[in-house]
Amino acid sequence: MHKVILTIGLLFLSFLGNTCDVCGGVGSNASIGLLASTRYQLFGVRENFRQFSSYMNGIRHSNDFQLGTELFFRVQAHKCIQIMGQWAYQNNWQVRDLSTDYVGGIGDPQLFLNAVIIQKMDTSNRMKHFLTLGYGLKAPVGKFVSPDNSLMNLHPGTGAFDQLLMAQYTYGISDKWAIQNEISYSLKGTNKYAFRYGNSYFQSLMGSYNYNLSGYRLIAGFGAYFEHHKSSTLNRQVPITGDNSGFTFGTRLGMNFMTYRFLYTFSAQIPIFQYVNKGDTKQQYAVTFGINYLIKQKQNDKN
Amino acid sequence: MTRINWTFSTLLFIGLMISSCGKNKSATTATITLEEPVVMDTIYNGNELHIEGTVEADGKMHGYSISVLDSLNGVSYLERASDSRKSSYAFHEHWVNNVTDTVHAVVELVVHLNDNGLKMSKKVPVILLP
Repeated sequence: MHKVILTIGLLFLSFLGNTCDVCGGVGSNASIGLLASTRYQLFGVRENFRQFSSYMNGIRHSNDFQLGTELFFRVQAHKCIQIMGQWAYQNNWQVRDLSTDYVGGIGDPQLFLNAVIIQKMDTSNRMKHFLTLGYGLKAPVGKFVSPDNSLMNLHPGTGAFDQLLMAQYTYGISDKWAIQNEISYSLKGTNKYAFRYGNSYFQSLMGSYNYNLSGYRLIAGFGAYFEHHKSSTLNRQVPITGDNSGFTFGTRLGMNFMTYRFLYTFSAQIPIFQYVNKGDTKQQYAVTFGINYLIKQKQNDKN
Repeated sequence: MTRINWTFSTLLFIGLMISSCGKNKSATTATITLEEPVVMDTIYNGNELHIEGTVEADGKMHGYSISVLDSLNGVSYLERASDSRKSSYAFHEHWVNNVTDTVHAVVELVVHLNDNGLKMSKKVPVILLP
């Protein structure tokens, strides 16, 4: 049972990886712990809150706030195959000295397919090595606009199909401790305006510990992340506004509380060092709260 | 010992006052940089007019405003103002051109340097096309 709990916990520890391309309502790398070994199916709701700031000659001219309400599900399609999906409603604001703009709407839905490649137990049947590979696809359903629009990045859609390649490795140190390394690469598509967000890379390393609290479980994790994205392009050229590529390094933490039927999650991502869009864009922080309903499978199903 | 405490407290108070006054000193002059629009920019109907730039002053400014006005009759197409008190501002506003006749307009930025009415401004003429 603890193995199941551990892996469930790690799954949700890693869910905060959605980061914007530059500064918009568009997720780039969905960092997902692909822990297909559990037999739980679940669905839930998550609230994501993120803030970015934009600068001109070193002077801040706006703050961007993004609040996303996301529906999430996971089903077990096969012993080693999971299907996961998520779809968010975005509320985005850009607050400036002189005015505030709001853009809201349904975002682009995402679907992931995850396969367990390695699942090795030690002599006491504890998870030792766990490797998954995944593929994701994001469909252009959400509202998007031309790059001529100043608020393009505030819109919830990109207008293009994006693909996601993911790999996740978990090493079980003991009953309580585990380390997870996760890598994803997002391949961005081109929309009808010939605009394309830059491909992005994401990697995180997290350590986790789980406690037994009177029959419930509290799983806490802490780690670091790194992400890099290439510049956006228009007609395959870097736009006249310039190269907006960049990288961010920061810390991640997560708290997960699991009862018999529900899993409550909290996670945060705080940048430590970053250089994005020539230093004109800064990611401030990201926070996620979630509640998930766990659907248990038949007892005779193997883990 | 009491005298030393009083002396120290007085010096600390004076220091804080001076420091505080320095930080709240009103601006006397400012450098206005209007990166967009440039002189005689032509904006077509349905396109965005970008008003983008910075203001940096030698003290705290007492707000600023931007406007887009018809240079012939003064009709206003856009008016935005802030009373934010800072020593530097950066702004990036946008307005979608919706005129039905050609308009010779002027984009004006006015900076309020203090509460006594001291101002600085910058104007850039643009053409709005239907």
